[in-house]
Amino acid sequence: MRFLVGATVALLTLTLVVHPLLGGGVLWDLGNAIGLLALAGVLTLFAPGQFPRTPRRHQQLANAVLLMLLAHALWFPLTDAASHVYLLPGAPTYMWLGVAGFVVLLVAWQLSLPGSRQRWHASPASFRRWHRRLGMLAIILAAGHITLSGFYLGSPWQAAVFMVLVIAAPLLARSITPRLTDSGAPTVTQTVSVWLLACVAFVALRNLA
Amino acid sequence: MMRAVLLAGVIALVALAVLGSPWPGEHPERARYYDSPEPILPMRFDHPSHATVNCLTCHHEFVDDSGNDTCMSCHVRRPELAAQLEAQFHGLCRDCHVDRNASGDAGGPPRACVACHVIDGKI
Ligand code: HEC
Ligand code: HEC
Ligand code: HEC
Ligand code: HEC
Repeated sequence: MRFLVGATVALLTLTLVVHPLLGGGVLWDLGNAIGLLALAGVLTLFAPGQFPRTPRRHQQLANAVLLMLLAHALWFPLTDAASHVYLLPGAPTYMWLGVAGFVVLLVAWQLSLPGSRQRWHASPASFRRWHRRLGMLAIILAAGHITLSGFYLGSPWQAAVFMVLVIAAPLLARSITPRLTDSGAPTVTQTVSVWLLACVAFVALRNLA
Repeated sequence: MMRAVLLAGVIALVALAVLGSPWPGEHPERARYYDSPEPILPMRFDHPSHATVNCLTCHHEFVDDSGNDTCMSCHVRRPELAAQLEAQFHGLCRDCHVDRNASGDAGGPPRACVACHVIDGKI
């Protein structure tokens, strides 16, 4: 739980360092907050407290992350009728990075289902290796999507710190979080509550000031 | 169950991307605005809300040798400029709005596409 709160606060603080009050309007900021938190979710999935001791938590959180990403992706073309052109040919690279990251996660999810896990992987170890690689790839694509779009992480050094953090976090997760026990890992309800609060804080700060 | 939800979501996303939003409100779509050879989104612009901005910030054609015409007649119809339309106009319009918002001053829309991309009878 402390890890979850810490990671969420760190992520939000980082997006707030340079231009805390720069908002794109309530609808835009809310849609983006959901996307940022989905990335926080992918990072959390690398914490060993979530897996392998508690595979159920890991699966629940993974499902929650995919639903949040779907919400993030549907949000803009629904609420802003001109934005769907950024899902069509001619859209900027950072949009294709976002789409690619989502597709990679869908593939990772499909390959982890009981049937396909055995069909496509020689051994449990090879499954885990590939599962982690796909997760890392999705994180790198998502980080490109976020930094190149350049709105919340407007300055180059802020984007660089962000890149280093999101790539280092999953690599270090196993050494910094081995003490997370089953009871220490947040439940899905706790996770969603912390993130709802984070969304409200993110949107309120940027739009009420 | 999860697979059905994901599949429905992805189909909805593709439909939204291709067909646009079913939500009520403005629905700007690409068309040959401003005699553009390629379909583009429309834009709106309003001089009074830009009274604090120096004319020359936008009207470079007043002082340089690019000629005397409307912005769109050059930027949309000349192929070499049309290729940079989005980059140059987002750079001019949206970046100013972002900078003003970030410094706490009144500025125009920094992100919402529909705030700019609607039909404006005057242009
Ligand atoms: C501050 C106003 C403003 C905002 C906000 C804005 N644009 Fe633009 N955009 C323009 C202007 C002005 C042009 C050039 C004139 C035109 O295309 O009608 C342009 C051009 C474009 C073009 C190139 C023309 C075309 O249709 O291929 C695309 C694509 C585009 N914008 C997409 C978007 C998207 C997507 C968003 C929201 C994420 C957005 N814009 C937000 C002002 C804006
Ligand atoms: C923020 C950018 C901006 C500023 C500042 C601005 N304009 Fe414009 N102006 C435009 C745009 C965009 C159009 C629409 C162009 C079109 O019809 O293609 C326009 C159109 C015009 C037109 C119509 C004819 C034409 O060239 O398209 C005149 C005349 C004009 N502006 C004069 C002025 C004067 C004088 C000032 C300063 C007091 C000024 N503008 C300030 C952006 C600006
Ligand atoms: C007579 C033709 C013409 C007219 C009229 C015109 N432009 Fe341009 N514009 C150009 C050319 C040519 C360039 C130079 C392109 C380049 O350097 O790549 C340019 C460059 C620009 C750039 C990019 C500047 C930069 O530093 O990157 C912007 C933004 C721009 N114009 C906006 C406008 C706006 C807004 C209007 C109307 C208020 C306008 N232009 C009217 C021809 C025109
Ligand atoms: C140098 C800064 C600057 C530039 C360049 C600029 N704007 Fe703005 N824009 C503003 C300011 C300031 C406002 C007014 C905000 C207010 O008073 O609430 C504004 C407001 C707007 C609004 C909202 C107006 C309304 O009535 O609600 C739109 C739409 C807009 N701008 C479009 C554009 C487009 C399109 C361009 C490029 C052709 C452009 N702006 C270029 C500073 C700029």
